[in-house]
Amino acid sequence: MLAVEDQEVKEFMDEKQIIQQLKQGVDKQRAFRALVGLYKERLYWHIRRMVLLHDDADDVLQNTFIKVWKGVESFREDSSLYTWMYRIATNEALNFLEQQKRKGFGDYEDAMLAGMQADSFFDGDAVQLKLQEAIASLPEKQRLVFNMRYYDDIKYQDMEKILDTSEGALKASYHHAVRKITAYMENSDL
Amino acid sequence: MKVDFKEIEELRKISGVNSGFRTPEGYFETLEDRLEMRMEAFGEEKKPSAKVIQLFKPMLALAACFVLVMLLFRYPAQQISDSYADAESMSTTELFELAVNNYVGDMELANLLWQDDAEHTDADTELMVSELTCYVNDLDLISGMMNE
Repeated sequence: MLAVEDQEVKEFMDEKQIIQQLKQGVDKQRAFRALVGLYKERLYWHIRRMVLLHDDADDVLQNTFIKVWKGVESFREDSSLYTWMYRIATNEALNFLEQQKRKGFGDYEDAMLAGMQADSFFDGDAVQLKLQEAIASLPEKQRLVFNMRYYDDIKYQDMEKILDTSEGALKASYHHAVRKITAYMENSDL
Repeated sequence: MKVDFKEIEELRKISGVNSGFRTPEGYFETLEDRLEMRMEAFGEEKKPSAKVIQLFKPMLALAACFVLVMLLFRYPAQQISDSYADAESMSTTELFELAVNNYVGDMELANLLWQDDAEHTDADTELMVSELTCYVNDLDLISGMMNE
């Protein structure tokens, strides 16, 4: 537990230093590389669970960091940098999904799942595939909340800032998502 | 709303927390370099167009000034003659209002065009001021002609 707290304190210190450097333009390129290094994996997995395919996740992640680079000078620091970046990543992923839906015909979730099974960077077993199917069947908001809580273990207080939704509503979304997924898994012939 | 932890635990038992996704080998190690390359490419793509706009800006401004003057000469005169068969029946106030309305419409358009381009230098501002002066002078000239 102490190790987790130490890690959080270290990240907080790094974050402060990085923001200062980025805002003052001192060694901006290096500070930005440090920032990418610090958050790339967490943001990637958050995006990947939303868009499912690796190539799409890579594209959305890079767009996210480009937006961070462009907008960091106007970042007001009333939330943590991580929360702010998570918010950008979420919006980018949702915009991407919206664009894909508009471009495609028929059920986009089905197409996405078919694409995921064909993706060489998915090697989940039958249960993991079923779980992804169940998650894809959820409404967007519930899917987001479920992924953020179940996989990333993000606190509701942070989620509140990222998704601009009250803690009560987030808990309700998560509760509904878990119930639906459990029912989906129980009814599937695994 | 109370979250049912028993259900979540059950779910974790059957599916685990591993989603089954993976990345290409070395993906995260090379991300910073790829991102930098993309940002550089993006920056270079933008630069030439900015230069072209900068180069043509004085010419565009002159052309805009010319069009505005032409519009001012032709459009209001035509409108006045169409709307009011007898120009002498118009009062000075009406003529003035018409000229002001046209001027405001043109100014709104110019303002929109001006706002579209975020990068303005002092030279651009001077140019804009000289265009406006030229416009106001034309307006005075026309006003004088109408009063004659």
